[in-house]
Amino acid sequence: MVNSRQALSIGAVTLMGVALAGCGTSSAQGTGAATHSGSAVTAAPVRGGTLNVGIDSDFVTLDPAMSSALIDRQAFINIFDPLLKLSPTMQVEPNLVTHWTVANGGTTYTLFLRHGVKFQDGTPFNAQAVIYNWQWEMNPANASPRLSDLSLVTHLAAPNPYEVVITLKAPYSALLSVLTGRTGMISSPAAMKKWGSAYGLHPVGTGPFKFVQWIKNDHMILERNPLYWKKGQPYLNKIVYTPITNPVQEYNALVTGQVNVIDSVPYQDVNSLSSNSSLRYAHNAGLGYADMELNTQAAPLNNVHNREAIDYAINRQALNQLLYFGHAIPAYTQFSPATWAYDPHITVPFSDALAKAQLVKAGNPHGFSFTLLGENDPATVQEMEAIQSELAKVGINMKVEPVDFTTLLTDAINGNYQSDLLGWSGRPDPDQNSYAFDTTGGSFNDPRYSNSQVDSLLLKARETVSQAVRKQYYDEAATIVLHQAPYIFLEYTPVIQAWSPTVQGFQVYPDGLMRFSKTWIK
Amino acid sequence: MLTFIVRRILTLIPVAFIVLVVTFSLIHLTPGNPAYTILGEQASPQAVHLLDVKMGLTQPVAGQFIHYVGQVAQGRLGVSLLDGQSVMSLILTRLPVTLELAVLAVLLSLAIALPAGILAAYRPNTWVDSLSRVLALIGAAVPNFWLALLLVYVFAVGLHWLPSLGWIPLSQSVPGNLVHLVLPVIVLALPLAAVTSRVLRGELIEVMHLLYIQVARAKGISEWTVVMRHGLRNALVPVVTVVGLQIGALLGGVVITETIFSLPGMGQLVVNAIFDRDYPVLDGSVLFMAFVVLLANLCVDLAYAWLDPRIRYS
Repeated sequence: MVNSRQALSIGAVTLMGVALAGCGTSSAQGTGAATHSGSAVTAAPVRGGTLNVGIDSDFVTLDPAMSSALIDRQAFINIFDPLLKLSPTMQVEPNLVTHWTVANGGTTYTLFLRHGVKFQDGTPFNAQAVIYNWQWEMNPANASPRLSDLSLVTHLAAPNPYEVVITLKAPYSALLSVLTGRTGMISSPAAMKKWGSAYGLHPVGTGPFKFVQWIKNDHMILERNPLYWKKGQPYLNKIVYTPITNPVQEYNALVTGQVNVIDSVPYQDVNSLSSNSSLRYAHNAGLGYADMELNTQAAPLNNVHNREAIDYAINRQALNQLLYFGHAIPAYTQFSPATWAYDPHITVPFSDALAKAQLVKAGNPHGFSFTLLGENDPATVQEMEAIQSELAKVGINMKVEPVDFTTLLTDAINGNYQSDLLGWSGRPDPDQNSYAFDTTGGSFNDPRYSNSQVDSLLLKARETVSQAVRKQYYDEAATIVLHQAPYIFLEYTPVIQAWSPTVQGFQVYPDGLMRFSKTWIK
Repeated sequence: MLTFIVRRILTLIPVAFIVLVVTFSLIHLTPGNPAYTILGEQASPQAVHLLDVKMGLTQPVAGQFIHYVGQVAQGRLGVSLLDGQSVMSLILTRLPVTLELAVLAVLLSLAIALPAGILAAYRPNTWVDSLSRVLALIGAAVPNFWLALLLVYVFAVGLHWLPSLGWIPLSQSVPGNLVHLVLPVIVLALPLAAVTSRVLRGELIEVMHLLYIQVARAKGISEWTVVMRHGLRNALVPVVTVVGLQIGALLGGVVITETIFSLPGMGQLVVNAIFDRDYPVLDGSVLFMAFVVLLANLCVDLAYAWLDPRIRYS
């Protein structure tokens, strides 16, 4: 299972690719001939055809209310239309919600729903359906991973069939961004009731494609949704997803024509893509990052100077060249270049001298020892060994311990580790990339980090509407976090996707999700 | 003979029980909670606990084991923790893929090993024998994941003769099915063929020096008949033993081969169940595979009697 936290553990030279993408300021895409983040549309779209899609792991569940795996979102984005959508530059735009208002100091959101939309089973999409989904997710007995997204909701109301009023216990500036994800993907209540706990095998949404068949580890088939509210779309008759867990094999499948598009490309093959006129690709900065988590409650990393020494001793540029073939961007904060919260000036230098000075301050002039847990795939082990050799130069003895992902996640959550190599797939709003990670007791705060100033800054940023003001709060918080080093941010991971020239109207998005409503086969 | 078969089948029960104890213990001793992989890291402790209760994981491991054994005794393998699908239906969906792969791999390995072993034994210490020996060494030494990628690179990416991965059911297209299996079957068959051919060579050389072979030759029987009818049949008993033992190794190889070629078989089912800590799927699949290995060995025992009429079971 590939979870949002796993994908960025570089585990995959390709898995990272699944991670997400970013366009924004640092995109570089190309083909042998054309250079577009999407395939150039040179003629009128043609209806029909089957698109074969290679994905780097199999889906886990097709129920957005119960999904925590990153890969599931590749299916959801085409089966379910989110209430709000993301633009190619990660801006929130209307979709099933046509417009919205925010009142009472940011604690009341009113969403106005699109009229005439139907679920793929023919039942109407309306405010009752939205509230039914959210109430189900907010019921602790259902153990939905969406519960944390809705934890601030105190009341839901539907004054009329096309209006949903959300009352929050505190302002939450990331709410609209949350509604572009799985929490904003609404299932047919009729289908949820019909299938019960087996709904994850029979999803029904309002998206451009309806679910037909899923044979695990083999393929999943979607077909055009004839009830789709955007007239004339989608163009494709069918999409067939094939999970291909070996990164080299996924790329081979594209080269041999067995699939038309792949969700990630091994880093070592990116350069050869640029000279291959029979393939198209896009290479963008991602929303996510790879990082080390340092347990601030366990010796020796409970000493901030030991943590800072690690920060200075790692040569991020060298790691980028060695592991990512130069396709990543060195990371120092949780906010990638694909988001508006990115600030290129927040960095620390690579300096063995500074690292050694920190070791002296820590009272360990000759270094110290600790263990790094990481996933037991070759790419992650290679990354851990590269870090190990960097740290050895300043006398820090890091033991590498590869484990399987479930063990890694369980140990990280329970604080049963000194440091680990995990990543984060990233989200469009900076709150989603920082609040749960950095605030005291946050649900992603594996390092058990606690700093009242960071808590206060991130809370203020969450409750502020102005993006410019929020940016200042995030800059301040990111600077503190960087220097206190509960995390060692390593690289912002790129999204690299490739397709055959017959695929038209496909555009690579910063979140890495492959949207096929406008795609057609030439 | 019938008594022998019944007795052997009955011995499957304690063996299966031991397999169950080992599998169940190992996976439960491995750290990691499936609730985290299902719910993700942001799940509240309450949600994790609720799911643990729902999955029956809050009971002591011994209690869980007794409950599971009780279910298995009634022929129920349970349901997947991830999506509630019946474990038996998951196994039955994937079994045809693995079965076809394994049967074809054994047949291809025999098709390579028998002529190679016979030729090497018939002309020992000649260039034919040396060539056969070198190829067998390579076949046994090359890791199958490397061989798989090499074959894909040459025959799929380079020459475009064969698909690089995937699976088409026999019911959908026989040629399509076979074309997709060529590379995986070769990957599985070569190491088997290497071992089998070496065993056959050794046995056949030994047999060909026995007195009854000299008698056969003295009677003026053609060399072909001497080797094929008199020599080979007697040399096959140990070969069958080796092939039977290799069924277990083959199921291990299937795990890797299915993953590389994206074949939806038992191997992928087991690998994913391990990573996801999907205990019922893992226990059920391993139990099922253990049965297959035990049955294969039973068939090997029965084949002895067919090959050598002096062997009698009672």
